[in-house]
Amino acid sequence: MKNTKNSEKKVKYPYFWAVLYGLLLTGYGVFSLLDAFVIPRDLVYVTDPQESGETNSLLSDQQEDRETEPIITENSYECSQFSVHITTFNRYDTQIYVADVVLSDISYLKAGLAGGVFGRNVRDTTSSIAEENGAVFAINGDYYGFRDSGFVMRNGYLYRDIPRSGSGNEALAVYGDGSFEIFDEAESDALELAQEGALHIFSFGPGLVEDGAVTVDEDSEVEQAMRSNPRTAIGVIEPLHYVLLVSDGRTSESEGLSLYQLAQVMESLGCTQAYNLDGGGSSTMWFMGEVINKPTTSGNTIKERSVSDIVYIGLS
Amino acid sequence: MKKGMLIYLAVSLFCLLFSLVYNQFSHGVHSPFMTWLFAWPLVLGCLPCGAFLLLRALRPPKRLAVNIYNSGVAALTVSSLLRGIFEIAGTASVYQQWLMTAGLIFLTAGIIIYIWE
Repeated sequence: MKNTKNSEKKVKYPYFWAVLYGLLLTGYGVFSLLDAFVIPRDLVYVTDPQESGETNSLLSDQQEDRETEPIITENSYECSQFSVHITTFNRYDTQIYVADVVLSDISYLKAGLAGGVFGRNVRDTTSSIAEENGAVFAINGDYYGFRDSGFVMRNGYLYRDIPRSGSGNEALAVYGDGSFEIFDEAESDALELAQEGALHIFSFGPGLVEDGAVTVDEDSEVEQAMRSNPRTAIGVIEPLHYVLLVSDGRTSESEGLSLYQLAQVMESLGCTQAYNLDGGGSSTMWFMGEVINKPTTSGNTIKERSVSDIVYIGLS
Repeated sequence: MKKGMLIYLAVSLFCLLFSLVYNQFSHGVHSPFMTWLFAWPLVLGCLPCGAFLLLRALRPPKRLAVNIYNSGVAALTVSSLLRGIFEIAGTASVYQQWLMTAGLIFLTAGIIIYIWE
């Protein structure tokens, strides 16, 4: 007992280090989480060509084209520049929404960024970004802002040329002639792709269909999704003729699709190339001011998740 | 040492429960860093404490070595927790990697100080 008392006297504050270190560690952990999920950073503001004084013949053409009255129905939009036809069907116990898009020019297939800003943790809902950009139709993109790596090219601007580490990470390039190319990021140079005429590079994946054949098997999954989920995919039937697909999932009405099922659907729709975009709670399809599908993260509530970017069809 | 072992055991149980609950809400996405979160305090904490309790021939460490070593285990456990959260969400953070490195340095320093004492 005497020894114990002596040893207690030696250390005046026995838990001082534990308390101080615990506080520092907690603070560091909270900061790491905020940095990863909340704090916007690495911001690049998108320049408006009209504000910067740049002239663009396409813009003038589009403004003239707007005078042509489009034909709009509940599930379609047709004008002289493009057409969007949306069909809905059920397969694999899942509600699937497919937009068949035909463009007269690749410039009508556009990408929108949340707040018009490129950066980490800059987010907004698909519908808000679509409305800000004057879109006719939109789906969520690859949610680039959730990661620090992965090629990001939108509307001809190369924002990030850092490939995702590791092999087998496939990205999608959309070229000026309307063609798609699915490639391994680690073995590619984003700047070279830009010089070769890429307008958009999406970094999520994997590729679902290549040369008209399914390229994933029943065991294939992205690390973020190990089973049936809501999905978003984009595919090309031929240059300027595209399929944009969103499926529901995680609800009693819709189980969701595996990547293999998604690839099979894209193949059955006639896609020669098809690519998986961000899914889960991000999966959203928007048309003429309305969210068409039932986006959900938890499966309990139908609510749009905020994302970094969208792919949209529009004149503006 | 017995008290230390009990604390590590309690932390291991908390980590196990936390990872089980977290995995329930992760839509089938798993990370080994979250699944095996409990292993850090169990293997690096309980086992050494148990060894000191059972093997009387082992000289008990002094406070400095214990503090530094415990700091390393804590940093590795929190780093593993963060890595699990980030992997399940589909992202990554350089700050988590720094914490993992710091944890390993603390752990090694604690062992070296114990040997030198």
